[in-house]
Amino acid sequence: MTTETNAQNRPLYNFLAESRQLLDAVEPQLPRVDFSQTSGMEQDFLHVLLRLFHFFRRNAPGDAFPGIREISIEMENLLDLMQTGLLAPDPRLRPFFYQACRLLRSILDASEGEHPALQEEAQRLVSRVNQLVEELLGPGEKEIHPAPSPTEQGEIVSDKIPQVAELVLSDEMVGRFSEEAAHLLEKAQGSLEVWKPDEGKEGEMAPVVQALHSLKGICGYWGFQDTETLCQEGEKLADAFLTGRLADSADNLDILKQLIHGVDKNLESIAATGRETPCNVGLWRRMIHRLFTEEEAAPQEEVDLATQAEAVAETLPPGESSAPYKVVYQNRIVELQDARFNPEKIEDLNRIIQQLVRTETALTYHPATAEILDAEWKGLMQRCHRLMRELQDVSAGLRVTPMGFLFQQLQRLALDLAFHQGKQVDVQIEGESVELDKAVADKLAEPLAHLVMSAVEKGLETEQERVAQGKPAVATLSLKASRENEEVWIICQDDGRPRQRQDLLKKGVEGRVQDELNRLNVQMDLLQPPGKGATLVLRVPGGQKIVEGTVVRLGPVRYTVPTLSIRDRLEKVERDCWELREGQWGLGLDEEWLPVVRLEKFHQLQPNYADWRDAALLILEEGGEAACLPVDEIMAHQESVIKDLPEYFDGVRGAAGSTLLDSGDISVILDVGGILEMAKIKSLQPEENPGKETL
Amino acid sequence: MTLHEEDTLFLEEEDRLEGKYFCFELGNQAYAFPMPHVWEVTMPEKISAMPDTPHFVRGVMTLRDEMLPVVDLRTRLGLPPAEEGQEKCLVVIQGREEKAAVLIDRALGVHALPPDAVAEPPALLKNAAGRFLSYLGRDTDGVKMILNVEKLLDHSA
Repeated sequence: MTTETNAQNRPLYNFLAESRQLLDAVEPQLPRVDFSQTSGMEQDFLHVLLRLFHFFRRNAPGDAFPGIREISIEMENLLDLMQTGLLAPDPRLRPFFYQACRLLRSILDASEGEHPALQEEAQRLVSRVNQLVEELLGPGEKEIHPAPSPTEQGEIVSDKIPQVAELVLSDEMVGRFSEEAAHLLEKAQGSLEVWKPDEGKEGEMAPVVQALHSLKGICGYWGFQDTETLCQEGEKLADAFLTGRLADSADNLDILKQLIHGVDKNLESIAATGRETPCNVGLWRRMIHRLFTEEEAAPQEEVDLATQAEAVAETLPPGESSAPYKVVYQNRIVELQDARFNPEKIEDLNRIIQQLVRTETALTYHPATAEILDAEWKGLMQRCHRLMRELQDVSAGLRVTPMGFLFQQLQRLALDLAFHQGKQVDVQIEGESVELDKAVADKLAEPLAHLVMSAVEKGLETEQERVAQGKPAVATLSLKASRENEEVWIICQDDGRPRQRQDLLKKGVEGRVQDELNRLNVQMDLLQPPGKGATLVLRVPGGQKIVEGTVVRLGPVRYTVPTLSIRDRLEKVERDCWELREGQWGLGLDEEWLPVVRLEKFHQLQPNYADWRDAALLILEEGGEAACLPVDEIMAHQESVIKDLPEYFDGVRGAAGSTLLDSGDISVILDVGGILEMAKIKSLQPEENPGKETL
Repeated sequence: MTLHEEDTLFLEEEDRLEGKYFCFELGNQAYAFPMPHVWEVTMPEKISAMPDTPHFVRGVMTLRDEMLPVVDLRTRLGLPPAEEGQEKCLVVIQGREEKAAVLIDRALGVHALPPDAVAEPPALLKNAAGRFLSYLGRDTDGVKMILNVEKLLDHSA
């Protein structure tokens, strides 16, 4: 309320904010609704759609956003036909709703003014909806629901918001109402004009309250609900000035003036068309409510600015909504920070955590630390280590994003493209809640977009081609995400033409897409169910997991033994050991008996050592079990990224994955728990080849 | 016949119609993989031994960050091992689910074999050493034994 410009821009801002909110709410629901059968097309959702287009039709300033009105009228008409049952559910309808939502959003985003391309697109959409309606209804029905002509747009579409009563007013009735209302409003305006802020005379505000009260009554009588509510709020405000509950400051008075101006506009519209002009009643109501609550709250600095600013936010230029925006509130500029996390800060946080983890590891293995024998110190170090791992897990959780958002973008893209190419496609989404590293998801967006676009362009046939091949007229493209072990699988499947790998992407982009996928370590597989289009499986590493361990060698194989499972290491056995039975040994260690695990037997290897007592020994411990593991060589201690073994090695027992060592070798991560378990089972079984194991 | 086997046959028939084969040698005999299954040919680098694997698996290697099992084709086909120092080459093949690098002696290149130059192998050959054989291809250079990629990649086969 600081300048006149701000005040003038307010309705526009309100419209933009509310319309985007509505689109945000409706668009994600579209894919879930089944347009092909009555049961799936729930009446509730029809109402939601109706509300959306109704809002646009009524509230869009037509001169500022050309195209919006045409689209919303057409879609409202279509919904009307569906609701009355004249138009049977049909999957071909879905793309039109997508297209309409997308176009509305584009027009909003394109800011005010002429945008010939968008207008043209809107026209095209309107004519295609008309075409489909004609086709679905047959020629006979066309006259019942004629396509709207620009001159009668406002008239033909009835108010379909449920619970809003239809009221048909004759010209004479409208005339009488307008005359009386104008008189009352004039009275209110006149009294307000002579009111001087801060030195007001009681006698001047009372007529304002009175006039608004009467106006409220007649608006209610004739069924002009929005205007009635505005009057009610105005009356409340004026009454508060009168009784001193609210300071009659210039700012506050300005609000009342704006409100009365809104009532005036409504009355003008009623006089001309018999209908109210749209206005955001809810926002007015909230704003006035907050004026009252703020008055009661003190000191003023403690008021939640962000919440209040939401109601009085002004002059937000279109297209800048995502930036931390500034609003003018009571002459103060308030910067509203986006409540979401800032990705850069999360990256910083993760970087620091990684450094912390490395420092902690260095500290643990520092020679000076090894010399500290204090049990409490060791306990604290262990606790520190555990907390560090938890911190790592939590920080990893901060930077994930659900796949749903990316899928919705891809869905919109596919439907748009299909629409432009005159193809019919039903895009299905599954696994929206599957989470992926945000950085990875962002980088995957482009390759996925290319794959989806190519699927639509090269894979999907036109309706006629499909019918000729005996396929359903509407093609199906499904996008699915699922978590498979340490990977996220993104599956893009269609029932179009069968394709070879070289046809998956447009010429010219294959290299770029493949490079990006390689960089992300994403494996792309093409499956071709016979005669069923193509199924693309993208296997995305679901975040790197690190193992810290000791690398050992047994025969030709390198193993990584997780540090947490190693209790001790011994160079050479000069202790008690017993052969329990042939090949089955036990080791006496500090009044404890440990079984000797012969990994080479499980894994069919030939070790270099001749006698295990000459080998290097690791004392393993996990889950309360301990054992001794002889190996040829204890090689290094290192931290490495855990990688899944190829499926080909699924049958390898006691392997928990693999790591790529600094030397370029691949090591098998030992599943110590599994090995100890296997050792127990093995010890219960008779020796397969006792002679061979004799040491 | 299971659904899986049916699919395999279907794919093989498609492979035959595709008409292009990657040909290579083991000893003096020429073999071939249908081109749709062949991803790339590369020189062997570091192959790491893997425990608990069938005798024909040489180990595992990384190819551009991807881990691939390495199958020794000679051992897999029951042929004698190659002489020491003999030049070797790796072909990356892709089956329905598995992908592997296969060790061969020498690559001959991609040959086009029209469907009428590709025939079922004689029953005797198919039952004995040729259990991994799907077709016999014939061109001016002689006979090529066209191998069944799915069966080669199946441990249990």
